[in-house]
Amino acid sequence: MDHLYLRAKNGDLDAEQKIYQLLFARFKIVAKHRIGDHEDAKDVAQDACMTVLRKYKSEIYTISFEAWAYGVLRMKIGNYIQLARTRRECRAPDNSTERADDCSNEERYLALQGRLSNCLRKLVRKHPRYARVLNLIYQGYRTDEISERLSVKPNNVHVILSRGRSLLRSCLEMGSV
Amino acid sequence: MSQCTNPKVGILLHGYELHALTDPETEQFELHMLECEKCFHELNSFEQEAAVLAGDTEVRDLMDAACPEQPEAKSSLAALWRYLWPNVPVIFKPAIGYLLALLMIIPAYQGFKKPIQPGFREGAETVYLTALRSIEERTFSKQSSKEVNLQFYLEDYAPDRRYQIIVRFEDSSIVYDNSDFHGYQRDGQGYGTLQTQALSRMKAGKYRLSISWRRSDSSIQTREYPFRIED
Repeated sequence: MDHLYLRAKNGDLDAEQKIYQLLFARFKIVAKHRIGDHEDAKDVAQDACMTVLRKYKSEIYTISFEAWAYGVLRMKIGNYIQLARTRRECRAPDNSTERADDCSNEERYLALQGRLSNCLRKLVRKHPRYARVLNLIYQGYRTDEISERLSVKPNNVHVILSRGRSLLRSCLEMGSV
Repeated sequence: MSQCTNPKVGILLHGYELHALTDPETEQFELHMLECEKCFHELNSFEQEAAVLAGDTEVRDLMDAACPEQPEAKSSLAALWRYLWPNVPVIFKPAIGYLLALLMIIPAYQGFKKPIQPGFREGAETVYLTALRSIEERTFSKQSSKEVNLQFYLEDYAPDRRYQIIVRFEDSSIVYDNSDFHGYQRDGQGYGTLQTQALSRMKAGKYRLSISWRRSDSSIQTREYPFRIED
């Protein structure tokens, strides 16, 4: 993204457009991860992108462009959360809302849920450690707490999750673990 | 698809999807994702599945039923193992420290436990007599119930050489006389040892140990060690 930034700074409008597209897609994911609500996350991401494009030419910073842009997004997310608390309009992250937002219809969601459940049943036998870690995450433990509980290094927990994810993805695509 | 630009951070991906990372890890991964095409693509393409995996109650119930939480080991053996081998770098593990201490203590104990020298009486106090140019008296204070070993150097030691050993009391009386004395060699040095079994019970006073031997040129060489015993 640095080369796009340099081109945009020199007046390349195509590069600026490309930066907006790249940032918006990524900002949406981060905002949704932190806020929960899909629509609000899109709004926050869009607001952050507009701020970045408005200020990037005149802003003087010593860190990388991505780090600065990430800081802008964090600030927008913080503002949103503060405003939502003040107005008490923020909805708590709602699974049912995510269902409606993330899947086009209930049937598609249920189909996905069914396939995921089948794969997880197979995965429990093939990779019990992943199942154990996943269960602990559902109980509210973070990865550092899980590593202490299981007496393994924190990196091992991430490796277990990474391998489990690969197997899960493989099962969803091909039907077997 | 391109490779992850930083695999050490990229490995946090699934933890991020499941909202299981610590705050610093979350920030680290989000910043990484802004510049890593592979991680962004992975996140984007698995977004719906990850949302179901992270938030669906039926999936959670399924995992809870399939993998019930195991109780923590309460046994003392497990607790001892956790103490000796915690989740820290190897050099900080107590088990390694104890092992190193044991490896040092055993040879040290062997060193302290001196082997019994020929002629040494175990349990006796030992007077070490050395020839000093100033002929300083060695003074030894002994407990009356203890026996005494006298140990001294033998010059020109050779296995077949015989020494004459005479111990005189301060009144010039001869306490010990042996003209066919054998010594022994240790670490390239000749030693002689007299036990009080060979001497009469040593009383307090001044003594003089005299060592004589015939040299290779047939001359007689004599060394004397003054020493004192006090009650």
